[in-house]
Amino acid sequence: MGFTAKIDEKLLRFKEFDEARVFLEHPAKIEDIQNAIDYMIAHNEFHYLLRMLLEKKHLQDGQIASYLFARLPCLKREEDRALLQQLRKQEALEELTVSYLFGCCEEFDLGSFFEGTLLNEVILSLALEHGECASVQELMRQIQKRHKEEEILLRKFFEVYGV
Amino acid sequence: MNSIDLRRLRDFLALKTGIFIDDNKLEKIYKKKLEEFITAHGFKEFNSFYTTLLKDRLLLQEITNEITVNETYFFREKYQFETLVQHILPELDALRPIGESINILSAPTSSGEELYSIAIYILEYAKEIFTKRDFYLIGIDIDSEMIEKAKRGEFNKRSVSKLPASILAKYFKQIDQFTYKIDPKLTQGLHFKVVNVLDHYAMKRLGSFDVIFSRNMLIYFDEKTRSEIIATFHSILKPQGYLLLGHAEKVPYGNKLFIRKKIGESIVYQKI
Repeated sequence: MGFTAKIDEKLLRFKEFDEARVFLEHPAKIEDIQNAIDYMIAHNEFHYLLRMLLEKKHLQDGQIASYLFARLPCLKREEDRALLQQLRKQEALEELTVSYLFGCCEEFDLGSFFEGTLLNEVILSLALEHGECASVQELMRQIQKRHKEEEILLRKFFEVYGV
Repeated sequence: MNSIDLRRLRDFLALKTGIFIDDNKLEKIYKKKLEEFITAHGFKEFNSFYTTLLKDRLLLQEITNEITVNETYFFREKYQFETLVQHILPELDALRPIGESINILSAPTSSGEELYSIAIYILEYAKEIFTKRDFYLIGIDIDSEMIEKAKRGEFNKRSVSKLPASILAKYFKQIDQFTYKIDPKLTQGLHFKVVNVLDHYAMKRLGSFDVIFSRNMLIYFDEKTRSEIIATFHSILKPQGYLLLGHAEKVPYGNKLFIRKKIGESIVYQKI
């Protein structure tokens, strides 16, 4: 035994869409799903990928969804962004989607994604990491404004009821 | 730069790179360095520099270079090699089928000190496993000159300065006043290749690995790119394989591809 030369492994490459989609539409080994995700990314099938992520519970597994979002480029089309908005509302995917959105803060208007959202730990942590981004700064200003309005109401409550 | 500005800059750099400079070092060592940096880049006062830094990726990269220790040398942060031979390799040896090789990637490998250090640690401290299994060790880098240097296996005095004398004598030959050449058995047994970690398919063609060392590379990339690279590492690791990063680095927030563990003195990331 010793230091050895490489043992060649076959690199799985799908030749066409239908070969890859099978592994996304039905539960499969994680390596096969990752290869299928790689195929879709390489062929710009982002809308299909996001739609599958929304529809197929087995893709919402933490590892798979993490891999998908890590490989997904910052999307420009409105139809894709609409799907991202839906994904953000899924409990299992909220943190990953929000993390992805902040990672793309230079391309996205985060204010429109997070309209009405209050501050939470996830948003604050991500804001600190991406704070130099103009859309993050604008989002934080909007959140601060909403919190100020709430603070006023809260103060009123304590004034009125003296508790 | 006053103390408030200095700390503000320190805190920003900590958020961006993971490198935190304590107050003592900040005042005594880094203050002058950073002031010289700001002046050298044509800024007359701190605020205009800081406003630019928030937006200029290249400037951020340059100041990151300024605060990181960029030199590479044998047995740098050796506690990670100790974790490898004392904990990770025995675990993998028990886990992997008999006859399967153990594959280790160093990315980026620079001029090869890291990969050769790993090889020496295996030869010295994992002898039993080394007699039972094949080891495939490869170092990659985007810099072709570094790869050529790694293949030559010649190093200067500074590079070998942290090696115990016995290890230096055993694995190196001094070929002139300034240069040490590593044992040809190692230059022939290890592999070096020019590969860009951002090229997902080039990385996948390297094969699958039990352990990846990627120290002090991720800090130079933005969050999105770091996530992509981490995903690539995940896809080329075998099940339950390990990723070891630089001491200031971590897997990005919310990432569910790895479990973070403390093994020995090291923080490691294991593929789920």
